[in-house]
Amino acid sequence: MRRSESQVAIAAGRGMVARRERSLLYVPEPDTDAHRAILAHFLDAADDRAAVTAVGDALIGDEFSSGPLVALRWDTDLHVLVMGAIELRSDHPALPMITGAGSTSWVERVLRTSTPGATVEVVVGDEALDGTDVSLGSVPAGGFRARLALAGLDATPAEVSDRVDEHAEIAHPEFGDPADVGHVDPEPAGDRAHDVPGARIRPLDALQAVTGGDWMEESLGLRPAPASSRSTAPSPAPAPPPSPGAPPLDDEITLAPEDLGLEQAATLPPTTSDRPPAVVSRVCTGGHPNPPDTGRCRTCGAPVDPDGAPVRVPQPVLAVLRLPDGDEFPIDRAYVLGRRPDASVQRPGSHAVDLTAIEVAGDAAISRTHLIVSAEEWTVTVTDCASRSGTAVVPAPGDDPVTLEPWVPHEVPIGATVYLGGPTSVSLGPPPPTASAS
Amino acid sequence: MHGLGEETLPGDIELVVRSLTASGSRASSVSDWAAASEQGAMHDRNEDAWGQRAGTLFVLADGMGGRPAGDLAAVTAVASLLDSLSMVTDLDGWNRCMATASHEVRDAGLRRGHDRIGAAVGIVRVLDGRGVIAHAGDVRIVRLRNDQVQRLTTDHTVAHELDRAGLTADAVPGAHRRLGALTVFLGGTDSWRSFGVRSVDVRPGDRLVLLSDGVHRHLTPTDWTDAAAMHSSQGMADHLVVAARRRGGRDDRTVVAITVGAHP
Repeated sequence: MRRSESQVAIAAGRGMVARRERSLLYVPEPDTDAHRAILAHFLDAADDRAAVTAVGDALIGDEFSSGPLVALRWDTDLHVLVMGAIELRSDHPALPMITGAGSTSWVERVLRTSTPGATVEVVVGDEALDGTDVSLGSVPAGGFRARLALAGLDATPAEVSDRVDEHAEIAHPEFGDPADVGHVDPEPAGDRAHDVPGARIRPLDALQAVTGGDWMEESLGLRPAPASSRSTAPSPAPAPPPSPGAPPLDDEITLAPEDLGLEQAATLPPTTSDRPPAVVSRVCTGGHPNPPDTGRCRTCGAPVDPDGAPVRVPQPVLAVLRLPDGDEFPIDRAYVLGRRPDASVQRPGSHAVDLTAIEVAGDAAISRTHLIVSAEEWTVTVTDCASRSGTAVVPAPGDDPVTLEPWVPHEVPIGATVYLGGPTSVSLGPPPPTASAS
Repeated sequence: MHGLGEETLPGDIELVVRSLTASGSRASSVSDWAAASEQGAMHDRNEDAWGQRAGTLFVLADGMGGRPAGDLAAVTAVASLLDSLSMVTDLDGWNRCMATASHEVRDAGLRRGHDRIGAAVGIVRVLDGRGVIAHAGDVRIVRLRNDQVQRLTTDHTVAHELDRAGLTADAVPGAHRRLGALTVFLGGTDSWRSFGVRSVDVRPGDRLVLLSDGVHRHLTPTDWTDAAAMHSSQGMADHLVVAARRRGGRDDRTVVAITVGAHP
């Protein structure tokens, strides 16, 4: 059986080139189940002609909504199928360029040549890298340049046909038996940077590798580090370096942190806190950490430069919680209050948060587990834990009381008074003067 | 007033508290609102969508870029939430509305043959003098009060989760390429569950602003100072969108600005 003399060089990119012996499929944006299905149909078909037919069938099945792609098949002639706003150029005088733009279905050409051994060069997408060659299988690519060897039909004049001859059965035994597809030895390794091994790569595996699996459906699920862990704990195995030429996924997630407006915040020297430096802040002229957008220090009133470099600090103490008996607690974590509170309580549907239990003595209107008081970055919130008698907040003296909805956190300012079920109340005072941040 | 150790019927805590405090009435409501939205250079259609209902409920959705049908996701999310959220007050109600919206986005995508459809969303509701905000993803809600800018939401992104856990991107395989990826959004079966919801103080003079990431990633403190000086909500919304455009933002840009006044 004749080995293919055709070569397919590829450009780096976020698309996919899949090659069989004498056919090729290029999908510039392989993001969807529809594309995975098309790639699977292409690679699983019985032979090269069936493979391109399968692509057409899949496009019809998707009602032409799948997005751009290019399919090629070459043996005795060159069959080109282009869907969508993608351009294919060739050096054949009868097919300088073809594009599917403007067509609701796809466009096709068949190029024939009477000269055996003629080659046609086909170029799609970004400029291909010299020295690459995909002989079989699928790889990430942003375009390709294929030099395709055509067998030619004896004594057939060169012609271009717009009609797709779906049932053309041109038997040329010397081009091999469909059953041999997939068993061709890889072309001898030459000066090629990106050889593809002869074994077929399942398209779904290849796409998984490109897209990293079901990332969109999964949160990384990272919990805040427990208070007792230190940053010197053994870190997880370092991430493997990104594979060369691995395409980025989409615009949003290829943005660099600077583009995201993320503060490239330095971490302050270790303080007495054993919490991770998780909160971005800006420091006032007096050295106190503040919310990054504030203009005046919440501790000392000094100016905070809005263009100053942000720094990361452990959760600061935002306020002081005062109990009826005079006890005070710094609000730099989450507390659960009640007659005998359950520290494992959590808002239905949310991540568990580490809670410190505080018993509040008072009238029986206070539930066993009544209220959560929490510091989250720069906001103090209180959350009623579906208590029997409810929770009311008076944000400042003279304000109307606000009755809390169970489990809906409520932002409270310093100076607020929070009533637990009845006359018993706790209040939020200003934080103690903090040590300088630097 | 309560017998020791006896089960007591829940009293009306508000009455109890009012009897203990001298309270006046400073209820607030929306006095003015406006929106500005323009398509960016990234996609061939605007994949932000916004809507409001009765001047009390405001929703801004940002279809996930790079996914097919970002605009479908955004519009579906806004329509669903405007429909369901108007009178909901309890957490169960919020959960139901967010779940419904997420499923409707997903279904809309599947009907069109799109997998992996998604939208970030921000919601502001001012009802009976009370404010509630909610969000999933990287739509931000900001409050301007007394010339101070206060961010009311933290983005649900991979980058933020790394921060919360005190980790760098090196510590988690694949994180470098996904810093902006959303960890909470509408359009997945369970992707909505950790949405943020919070009841907030609203006072006359407050401005509440919803911003899609095509705007908030590009704003500087000066932009906010200038925007705060705009008396009208339309002026503020326009100013923020134009500022983001001038700084080279390529994504779609949408701002919904709400001004709070005294309850008439």
